[in-house]
Amino acid sequence: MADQDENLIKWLNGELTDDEFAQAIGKSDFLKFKQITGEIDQWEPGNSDEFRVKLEDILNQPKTITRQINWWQPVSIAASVALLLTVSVWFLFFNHVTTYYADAGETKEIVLPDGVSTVTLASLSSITVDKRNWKKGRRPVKLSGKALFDVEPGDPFTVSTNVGEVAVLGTTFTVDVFNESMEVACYEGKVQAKTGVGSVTIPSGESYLFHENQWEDMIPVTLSRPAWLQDELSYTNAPLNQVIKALEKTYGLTIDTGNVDMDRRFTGTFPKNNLETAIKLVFTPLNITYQVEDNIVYLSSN
Amino acid sequence: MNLSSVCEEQTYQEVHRTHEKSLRNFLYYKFGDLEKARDFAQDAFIKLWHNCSKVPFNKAKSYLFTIANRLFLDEIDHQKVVLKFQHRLRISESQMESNPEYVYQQEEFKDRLEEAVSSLPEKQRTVFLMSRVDKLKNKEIAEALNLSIKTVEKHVSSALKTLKDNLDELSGFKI
Repeated sequence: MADQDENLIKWLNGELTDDEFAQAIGKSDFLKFKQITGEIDQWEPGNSDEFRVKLEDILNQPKTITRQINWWQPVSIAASVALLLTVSVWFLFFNHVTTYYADAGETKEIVLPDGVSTVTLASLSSITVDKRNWKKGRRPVKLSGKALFDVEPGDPFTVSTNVGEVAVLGTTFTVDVFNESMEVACYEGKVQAKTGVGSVTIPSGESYLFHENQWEDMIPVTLSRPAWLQDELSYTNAPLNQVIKALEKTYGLTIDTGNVDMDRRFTGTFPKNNLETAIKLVFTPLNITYQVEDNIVYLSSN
Repeated sequence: MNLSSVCEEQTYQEVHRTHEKSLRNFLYYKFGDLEKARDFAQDAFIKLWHNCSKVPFNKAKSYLFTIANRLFLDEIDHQKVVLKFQHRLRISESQMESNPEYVYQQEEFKDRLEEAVSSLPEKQRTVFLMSRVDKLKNKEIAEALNLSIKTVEKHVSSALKTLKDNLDELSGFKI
């Protein structure tokens, strides 16, 4: 009896196939379960749309804000750029390595030395590959910026960044490194991401953000491919400095953040090919005013 | 430390979009009154907006479910729950008819199943329907209701077993 319960749970979790489950409990019982779930899976509470919780009625209500001012600002952009440059230069001169770049405003697809796995680099991102390692049963790459990885199953594949390391066997995932933070989203398979303070295992459909030296809770991935492969960038509860970095890289801008609280978060989608709209969509809802002068955007909040 | 992030209107909208339906359905499965379920879900969302600075983004979901449940408990006289469902897709019946392998008689099957579902123990019923009707993952249900994943698995499988036993009795498979 206990075994039966166990089998039922496994079947519900997709760990047993229909055939295996039918074999374990008998065909007639299996068909009954199947008929019940088949019916209920089609159900919906009556008159669903009439009973929706409407957003407009809520946002008109007052809210109480006690915002905490964060005095600690990420200051290490220059340092990490310098570090990456040093590392890149070292690799260029002392190793037989190749570094691929994507220029401002473009994405670039690269086929990796195994001939089947690919990387798609986002604007102003780069990846460094040492071919000799790939012949020794390992597939390491170094990433700066943001990229989508499509990895064919095979030898262990690792993406190292200045923040941490992401390890996989074969899967599709993105890594976005900005300042001291890193976001890893998994679209297929499973990856493991590791930083100085611990590691997370990320199944497909989930994304994790390492920010301010800790792993935050899972955020579901709703798209089947990252939006930035098309003409948009899309974020859910993303740190403002991640979004600003993306704006800078996509449009080749410098953004002066002024007195803006970088602890704030952004949720939304904006285009990759229309600077004016993008800036408006990001900053207006956050009540941040902006001024554009020669590729520099000055921000201030009231 | 994303303390005030739910206060950002866009983030709040995302929270609303993600949980609006499952929160209302949760209340419906639990208490069986769709209109009240909607109203209490709405109240919970308003409370979240009021208190946005006190609720971190990653706690918003369990906050909503806890508040909504409490609001409903305070208000409602507990009576027998009678749940009625619509078919999401019209094709389901024809699909099952074209499948010669169904076991339970098709006539009144939906009514009997609705009755059996309504008379499940409350926790089993709620978790089971969140899993099957709302297609939430066990992990998502566990987070919303502050249960362990094991408990969620247990509720879902026990509910399904109880439904089968119940239908077997009605259909005379067990005498």
